[in-house]
Amino acid sequence: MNPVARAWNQLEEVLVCILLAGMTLVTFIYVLLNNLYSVFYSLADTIPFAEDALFSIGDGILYLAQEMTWSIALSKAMFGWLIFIGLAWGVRLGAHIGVDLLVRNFTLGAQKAVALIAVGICLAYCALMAYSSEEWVAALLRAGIGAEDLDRFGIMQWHIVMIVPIGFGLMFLRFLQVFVRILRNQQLGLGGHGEAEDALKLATENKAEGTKP
Amino acid sequence: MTIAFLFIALFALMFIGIPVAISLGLSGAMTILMFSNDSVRSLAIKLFESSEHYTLMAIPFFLLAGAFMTTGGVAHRLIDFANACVGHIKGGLAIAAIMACMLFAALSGSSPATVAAVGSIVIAGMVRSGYKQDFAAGIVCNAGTLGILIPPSIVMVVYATATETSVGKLFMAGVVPGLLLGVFLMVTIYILAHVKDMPALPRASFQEVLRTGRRAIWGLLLIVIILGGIYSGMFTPTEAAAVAAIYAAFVAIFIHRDMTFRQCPRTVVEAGKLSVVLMFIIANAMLFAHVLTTEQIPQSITAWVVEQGFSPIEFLIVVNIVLLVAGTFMEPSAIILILAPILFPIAMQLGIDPIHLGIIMVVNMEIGLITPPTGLNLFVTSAVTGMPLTRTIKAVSPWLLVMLAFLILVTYVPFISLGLPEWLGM
Repeated sequence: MNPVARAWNQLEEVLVCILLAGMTLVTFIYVLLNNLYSVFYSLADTIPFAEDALFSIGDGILYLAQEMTWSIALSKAMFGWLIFIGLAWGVRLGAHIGVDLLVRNFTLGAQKAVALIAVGICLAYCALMAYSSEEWVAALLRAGIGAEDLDRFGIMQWHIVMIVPIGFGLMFLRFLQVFVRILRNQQLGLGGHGEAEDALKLATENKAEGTKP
Repeated sequence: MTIAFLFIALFALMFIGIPVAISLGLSGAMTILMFSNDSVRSLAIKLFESSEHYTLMAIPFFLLAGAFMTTGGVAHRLIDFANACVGHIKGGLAIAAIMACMLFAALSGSSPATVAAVGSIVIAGMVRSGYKQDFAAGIVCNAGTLGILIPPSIVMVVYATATETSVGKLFMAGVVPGLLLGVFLMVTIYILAHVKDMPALPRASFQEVLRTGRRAIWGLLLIVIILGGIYSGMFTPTEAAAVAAIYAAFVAIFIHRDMTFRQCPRTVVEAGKLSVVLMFIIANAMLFAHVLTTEQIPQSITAWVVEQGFSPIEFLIVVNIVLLVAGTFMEPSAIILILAPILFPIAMQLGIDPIHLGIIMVVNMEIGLITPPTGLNLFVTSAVTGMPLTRTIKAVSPWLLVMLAFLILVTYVPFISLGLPEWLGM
């Protein structure tokens, strides 16, 4: 595999990891701050000698929580990025669930033909969506509207939505790879049963560890 | 005409092996472009909208929590605890397997994850103790469906998003049916165990129960955090899910020490993959459902049903049949997003509670998970046991009767679903 492809493969996973971990942490910290200040306020009521200190800690946390209004907008944006960055990656892993019930009964030659048509249609889908979203991003760019709650950091709406055409563009490339692989007889179908396989992978990892003393 | 095109396109695309998500999105997109005046731009806007639903963000969080609990040894500890509690009964290991599934379902929002986590440990253990493999596989495959009925539940999050009902109330409504189905399965096994003379484990001492209980306590505490937190209003379901994910990671790394920091990214990436795939289906199903609503399909079906003078009982029979059929070949989240907007207004007209309808839909989806050709639980069970898919299907099929009996019960006794949320004053 050439180094650019390998680096890109790595980057996909790193991005997914950072985005998911990021949105979880941001949401968690927001919840924590939102519930913590009342704890300090009630502590202040019960421990009179530390009242002032506790009240000011509570105030500080409340201030932080109120400052964090951007947290929901930020985690939503990361959520969007996670989904659309992940699309292409899902194609590479064959993770998108499909029904191959009918096709499996065909002869090998027919299976290859059907698979090529199927991937061709997937390519058309990506192209359509990439085109559609590109128009949307262009419109947002012209309008120049700031993103809700995030505009104070200079983030515009089109910065967030930009990921949609990029995501579909990358997905298009991945499907192109699949197309070539099928053409060269390196692969037959599109992929597997998604959630089922993943749940399994986690469980077998766990089993391997579980057998250790 | 438009609708015929929509559905024919969907099935044609799906059956030549195109991923479900793309089939949904493309058939919806083609219909919009051919039959309506919406701009091309609206397609992308609709797709992106799914990431703007704050409720749906609970899905990646719950998947992350589930991933941390499966890789970190929470499942192991729950199983040990279940064995100590009920192992001494005749057919004890099988009953304990159900109990372990119920406990894990209360931590995880996904059924395949429950089967994988519990099944990979329990089935081999049962076979070693003299149970038939088919029997063990059938039980776990079935009890694993509890993952989406006992809260938290990803399918309920999707239903709540589609119908704008309260996730918290749905979660509470799932508690009693979930426990009931678990007891249903346990009683069936108990009777079978006496007929077939199944083995029992030696009775665990009270100390043993306490000891295993203490080891499982960190996992069990999560149930309290999720349900207690949502019920007390401390956090929204989405926030509860984020807390659950961080908590599960913390327990796996610092308390159980089954994982190191360096294993974390792998687990996060796995959960990320599940989230992406599921969210892509949801986004496209929303586009598909959007076509249905702009074509006024729900309204015309509702009008037709009301005109026919269907009673709620007859309507619910139809609902169950439609859902069972749909469940055999589609992803639960997609079915909910497509059918909930259609069924919901009719149910309102007929005076059926939206929460009750939600639970009925979830139980139907459970059955869909264990029926071929696309029952995800079947694939997981077959892979966990190494049994061929056909043999797994055969092993699971007798249990379908229990599930169907339970479905009828839940459908016609709304109190089972609505009792707890009403009692809690939600």
